[in-house]
Parts: sequence; C-alpha cells; structure tokens
Amino acid sequence: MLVWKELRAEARTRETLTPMVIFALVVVTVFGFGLRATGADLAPVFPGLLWISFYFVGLLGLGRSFSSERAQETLPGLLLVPADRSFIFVGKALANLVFLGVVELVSLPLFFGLLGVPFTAPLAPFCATMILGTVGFASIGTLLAALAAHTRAAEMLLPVLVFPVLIPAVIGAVEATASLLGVSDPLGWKRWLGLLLAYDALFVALPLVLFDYLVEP
Amino acid sequence: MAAVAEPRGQLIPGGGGGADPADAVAAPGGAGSVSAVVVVRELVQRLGRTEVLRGVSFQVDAGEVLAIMGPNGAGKTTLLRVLGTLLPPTRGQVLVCGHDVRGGGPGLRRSIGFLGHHTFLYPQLTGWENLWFWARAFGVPRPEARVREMLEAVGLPLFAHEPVRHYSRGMQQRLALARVLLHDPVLLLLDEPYTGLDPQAAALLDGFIRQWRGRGRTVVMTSHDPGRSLAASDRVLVLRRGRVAWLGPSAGTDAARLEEVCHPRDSASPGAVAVSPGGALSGGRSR
Repeated sequence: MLVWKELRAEARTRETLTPMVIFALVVVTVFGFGLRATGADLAPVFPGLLWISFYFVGLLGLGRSFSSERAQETLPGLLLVPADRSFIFVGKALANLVFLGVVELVSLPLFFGLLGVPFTAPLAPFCATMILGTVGFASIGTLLAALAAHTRAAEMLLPVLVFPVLIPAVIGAVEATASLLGVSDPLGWKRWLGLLLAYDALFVALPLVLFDYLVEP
Repeated sequence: MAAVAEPRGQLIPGGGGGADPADAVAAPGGAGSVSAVVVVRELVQRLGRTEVLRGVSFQVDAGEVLAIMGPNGAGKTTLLRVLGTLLPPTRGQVLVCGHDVRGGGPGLRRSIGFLGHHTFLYPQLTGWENLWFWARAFGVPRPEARVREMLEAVGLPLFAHEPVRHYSRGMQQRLALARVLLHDPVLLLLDEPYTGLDPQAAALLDGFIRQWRGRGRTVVMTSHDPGRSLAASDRVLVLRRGRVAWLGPSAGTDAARLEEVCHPRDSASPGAVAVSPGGALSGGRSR
C-alpha cells in the first residue's frame, strides 16, 4: 500500500526520481570529462566509480523518504495504521529500491558507454550483483533515514550515518563487479556475492525488528 | 473551480467494517465501568522536562461525547495524543476500548479515528487516492465503495480526482473527516475539529457527531468554543495547567460561566474560579 502511495505521489511530482536521474547523468558526464583515462585504463577503478556514484545518487532518494512525511505532517497518520509499524519501513525501503533501480537502469549504459569500458560480464551474475548491492543500500539507508529524520540536520547527518555502515556492501559490490568485468579473480565474484547476501540478510532483518523503536510521531 | 457539492451528510449504515463498540468497551480487571470506552486514571504526561498533564482522571462511556476545553497549553492536545496511542503515558493508567494504550497494538489502533491539527492527507494525491490509501491501510472491506460513499457524505464527489493541494482549507478538513470515519472507529478523537470549517462544513460535522453518538460510538473532542462544545457534547471537561479544573454535564451549563472556568480573569491564580469537578456551572457563583 505504502509503495503504491510513494510511486503514485512520485509519478505526479517527480520530486525524487528526476533529481536522482539528473545527478547520475551529471556524475557520469563529469567522470567522462574529468578522468584522463578511458577503456582498459579506467577498468581497474571503474567498479568503484560505478558503485560510489550509485550510492551517492541513492542518498538523494533516502533523504526524501521521511523528510517528505515530516514536512506534510503525515507520519503520525502512518503510525496510527492498525498494522505492525514495520510496514512503514518495508514500504519506504521498497520505494527507494525502485527509485534507485530505475536510476541504475537509465545510467548503467551511459557509464559503460561514456567511459568506454567494455561490458564483458556474464549477465545473470552481474544483475545479481546490482540487485544485492542495491537491496542492502535501500534497506539500511531507509532505516538510517528514519533515524536521521528526527534530527534538525537530517540531510547532513544521513551520509555520515549511512556510509560507515555501508562499507561491507561497498566492498562486496565493487569486488564482485571487478571480478565479473575481469579486473580481478574471474571466479572471485561468488565469494563477494556471498558477502553481499549475508549483508542484505542482516540489514533487511534488523530494521524489521528495530524500526518500531526508531519512529515516533 | 465549481462549488462544493451539497454534502449528503450521512454515514454509511454498517460502516466500513470497524469494530462493534459493544465488543470493545469492557475494561479488563474491572477498570472503569463496563460501558467505559476511555478510562484515564492519574495520568501524568511529561514532554521533555515539562509536566503537561498532572494526575488527570476521567472516563468516557460508549455513546458519549466529551468536549475537552481549556486555555492554550492546558494539555488538551497532549491528552488526545495519549488517547490516540501517539504518546505513551509517563505515569498513570489509560485504557481505550479495554486496552492499555502502552501496549497499543493494531487491534487498539483499529478502534480509533484520530483527527489532529494536521489532516494526514497527501497533497500530491487526489481526494479519492488519499481515501483509498487510508481505507486500504485500515483494512476497510470494499474500499472503492466506501471511499465513494464517504466522498458523497462530505460533499466532495466533484473534486474526487483533483489533487488535494488544490483543495481549500475547509475542503481538506472535510476530506480529513471522511478519512477518520472510513474504518468506522469505536472512538473518535477530534482535536479542534471546527478550526477552518465554514458554517456549512461545521454543521456537517455537528451532524456527523450526532449520528456517531446515535450509533453508540464515542467522541472525545477538544475545542476553544464553549457554545459549540456545550451544544455538541454530553459532558465537558476543562483542563487548566494540566489538571482537571471542571468536569460536568453539558446540559444546563452556562457558556459564559464555562468560559470563565477556562479563562479565569485572574489567570495568575490557579484557584481564581474555584469549582469542584462535577459542580454546576448554571449561573450564580460556582463553589
């Protein structure tokens, strides 16, 4: 239900997705001009550029998850819904997942195309890496966005809270992508996907337990 | 923008599948009378370091309308938020429909309809979308039909597909009223519900409250207007500085005297108007 509301509101205003897509395009363009390397020269750092860009773009969406509810004074209404309050977390996290997924779909071809890095990865493991790297980010990011929303400097605090907790996901996603693109051990991606899977399992389950304690009207 | 449609002003017989008041009123452990929907005992509520409510006790029976009055900062909204499970009580006991609000789970929240200072409406969504969202969230059966009926009841069917950000304040209040009634709650908590309403919408709200009471539902509302409070309620509770300054029947109570209890001339003195709870306010000096 909440996902429907989020997507419906976004479809009408495009207040979240449009800045995210534009920011992703700006980042890829700036990298295209700013880095004095393309193709094979850029390949060793490309997975890092890719994921750090996506996570920075994702922060824009996370920041709006709860700040919009606060600004519209609708959060108490959600807390009155006769359901386990974790439904708010699930709805917001799924919406963030969709937003970041759309951004990735739009900007991935541009990252590969503009930076001249050949796409040599097997499709299924690459998609699995993208999904697992995004799920973990959306999940822990949504939880921390709820936490930060209670503070006056939510926009400033959110990146400070998110990135330290995100380090294992960054390592897993970057290493798996590097392995799949042939930059590192070609079979190493299985190990890194395992790490991402474990990270996601932990940071999807933990917010379901903690969320009720973090939100207040 | 076309004129707001004449509201039908009828709540739907059978409602949206909410709980029957008779199922929810018995307080466990003999707390309060068997027909009490709200039982508040020695409620103390702190917000930060401030003690907003100081030993408040009262109860509200099924089918009763209680108006809570008092000056700004008396604790009216805080009290309503405690009853609505939005604030856990600091001390004391608060039972709503027989459930302690501290452990207020989904079952308790389903029994409550809360209309606060804010409408809980999403401005980007249309009126229909807003009601449909809340109907689904509250598990209302046949949500489409219920939404249509409620839009007609509050006189907004012509604006059903307009984004709420295009609504006037009064229209948003009407839609917010439809929102809280969607799931047919046992207890309706209304925080200054007449604020921003035009006379037509205020009359509509009066009608809803009468119908609600007629169906055995309970209403607790706050208001600054003694005349309207007395007209709409069965009893009036006056809060001053977090304490119950007066609690008595609306019938036979004089609005001017009630106003004096709420806003005593010598407001620096807590005992400026010395009335005991339950004492009459029907002319002459209060005790």
